[in-house]
Amino acid sequence: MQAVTTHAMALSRRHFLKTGAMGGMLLVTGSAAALLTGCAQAQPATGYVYLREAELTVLRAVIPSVLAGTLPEGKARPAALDKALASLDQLLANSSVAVGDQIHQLFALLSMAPTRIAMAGVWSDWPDASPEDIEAFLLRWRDSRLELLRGAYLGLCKIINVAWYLLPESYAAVGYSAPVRTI
Amino acid sequence: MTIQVGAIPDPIRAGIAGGWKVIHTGELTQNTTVECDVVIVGTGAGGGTAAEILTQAGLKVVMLEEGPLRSSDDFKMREDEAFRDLYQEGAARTTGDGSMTILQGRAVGGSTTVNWTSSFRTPPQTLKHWRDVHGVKGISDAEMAPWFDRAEKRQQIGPWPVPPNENNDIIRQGCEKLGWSWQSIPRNVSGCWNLGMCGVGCPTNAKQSMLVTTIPAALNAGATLYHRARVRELIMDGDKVRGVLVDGMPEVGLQPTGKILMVRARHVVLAGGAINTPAILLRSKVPNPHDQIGLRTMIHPVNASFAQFDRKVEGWGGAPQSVYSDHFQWKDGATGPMGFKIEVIPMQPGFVAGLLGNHGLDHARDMQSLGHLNGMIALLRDGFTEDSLGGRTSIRKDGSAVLDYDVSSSLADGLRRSFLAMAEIQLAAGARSVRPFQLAGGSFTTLAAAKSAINGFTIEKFRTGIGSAHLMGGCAMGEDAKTSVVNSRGEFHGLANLSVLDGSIFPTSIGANPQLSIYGLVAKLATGLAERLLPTGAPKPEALTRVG
Repeated sequence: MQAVTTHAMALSRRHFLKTGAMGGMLLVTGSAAALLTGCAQAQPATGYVYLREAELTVLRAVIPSVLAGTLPEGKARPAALDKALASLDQLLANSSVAVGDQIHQLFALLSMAPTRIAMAGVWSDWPDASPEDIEAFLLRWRDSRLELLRGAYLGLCKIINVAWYLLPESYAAVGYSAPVRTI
Repeated sequence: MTIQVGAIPDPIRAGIAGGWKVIHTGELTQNTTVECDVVIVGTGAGGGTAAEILTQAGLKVVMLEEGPLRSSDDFKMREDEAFRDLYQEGAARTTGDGSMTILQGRAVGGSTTVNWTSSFRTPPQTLKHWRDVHGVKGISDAEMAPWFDRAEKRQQIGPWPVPPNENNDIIRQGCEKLGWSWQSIPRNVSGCWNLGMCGVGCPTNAKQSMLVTTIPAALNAGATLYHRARVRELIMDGDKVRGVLVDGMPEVGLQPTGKILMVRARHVVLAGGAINTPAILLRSKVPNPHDQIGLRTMIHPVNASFAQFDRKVEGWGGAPQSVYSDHFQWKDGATGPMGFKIEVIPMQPGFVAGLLGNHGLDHARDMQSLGHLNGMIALLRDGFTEDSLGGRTSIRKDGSAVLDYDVSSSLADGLRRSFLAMAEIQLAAGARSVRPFQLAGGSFTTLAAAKSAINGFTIEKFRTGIGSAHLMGGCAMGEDAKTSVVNSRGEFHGLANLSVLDGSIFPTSIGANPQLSIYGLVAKLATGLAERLLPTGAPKPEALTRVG
């Protein structure tokens, strides 16, 4: 386990160093977050291959904002959210050790209260964050002058958007009809 | 209306039933050693072409492929399955800092199993640049022409007579309005159904990929194929290579099974493609006195412009790429401001969803109008100017490959000019609005507004959406070992029996989708290799006399 964490830190260090002094500060908090959360919750959540329990907590809060306007609401939402999470889990489980480490590290930053507050500007725990809080967090990252935060915004939105639109459940809303094999 | 694809004969399953030597490396129950004349690492455009030629020359060939074996019966036209099974890193590969998306195949047939079938000869300007600037020998237009002829015949490459889908036709319409040049794209298909599913594995075997042409031919001629075979490193012995060490990989999953395959060979051919081939060399600690391995990795950096039309576009159906414009490709010569090719992308929802660079209601609106969305891309021709050195492929501590690629000032300039050109084409073709893939860059209904905004863009990583589906270079060809990795015959400088036969030997990008460049060049180099490997005085096999 230690090897994996160290590896993730080495990767992030290489990346963070490029982002200058501000990045250097984030490196310290980021690595601490990776260390603190990395080992304790290194196991995938029950029923998942890649995603960990703390990551599911972040995603259950963030996904409805990223997929606003398309994720079903009301009674249908929990099942749709589970589908999105399962699709995302598969996407990341089948990527690579390097990609997987980078994404775990992003979630480590979002999971820890100090880094969540400092970097995402979200004061409450994820389950208590309002849609407005989460939208503000996404815009803060998108419009940041820090390469690191813009990259995190793009990465987070990309994996959630792709995971959802890989699902046949998403096709009707986009008017897509895939050819089908009849054998 | 849903298009149905019924039962189609699957040539791979038939071949296996007929006794082909095809082995799942992840299912080996013990460490295994095999011997052959030539081991070929990779089964894409380079490895597939080399395998057919070397096998038919009478050599005993073993093909190794890290990806799985999938064939037409498996191709269910589902993006999720294709991403998982057929692409490097589950289609989530990026440059080291995550700033650029990399689409590269990883299955038997390599990227040819998932590419969009665009087939261009290497432009004469590119070949001339390689001769003049990189000292590559034997690649005059006259010397290359018979090899392109051969490859076009072999992969059934020719003009595509079917009208383009609307997504592609928008290039034609816009260019005609503007008086800009455009052309149809030759494709490597036979009996194509025009489904538009090239990127997720051709379900009808119409695409003449390595999977249905050269690999079956090599297997018919007695070659052996190991799939889910990840090459750890070369087996070194002084100035010779004795073979390769391979980790068996499970059908699904990222960790090796623990069973090792050792392939001993007289000659080793690396054809894992850019990124993977230089990584194998670096992992193997081959001589690298001038630190050239992995340098000059070229990607045809791609930016995108999305446009909304009132009319239906439905770019998920029909040949994904059938029209292009080279209006801005060579207009300032090979070494002027960076040229670019304009094409479109297929518009399947999972793929497009990852390219819009937004979230929430903006993203949902874009996706809900996907059927009216045109997705245009520009492919920048990197590697020709002095400040365009491409990227660098290296290995991480765990040995995995990583590409670092920075935005040079000539690239930034090219990206801005191509944003402008794409917006102009889309608006000329009647787009209601255009939206360049630039973070929070806005969408525009008039050319004046688009121009003003694009001219003000800060072109930089994590702000400008940049990706690549064309990985080239990293083991550049040339005669001077100080500035190249292999010679003009594809032989590794400094090791007697190691060749590189894939797109990683290109010293620059191509300036066109690269598959036919790989087919033509590798056919030439592999034929030369076969002649050198056959016993002196042996009769020349018929397979080697067809060309030249």
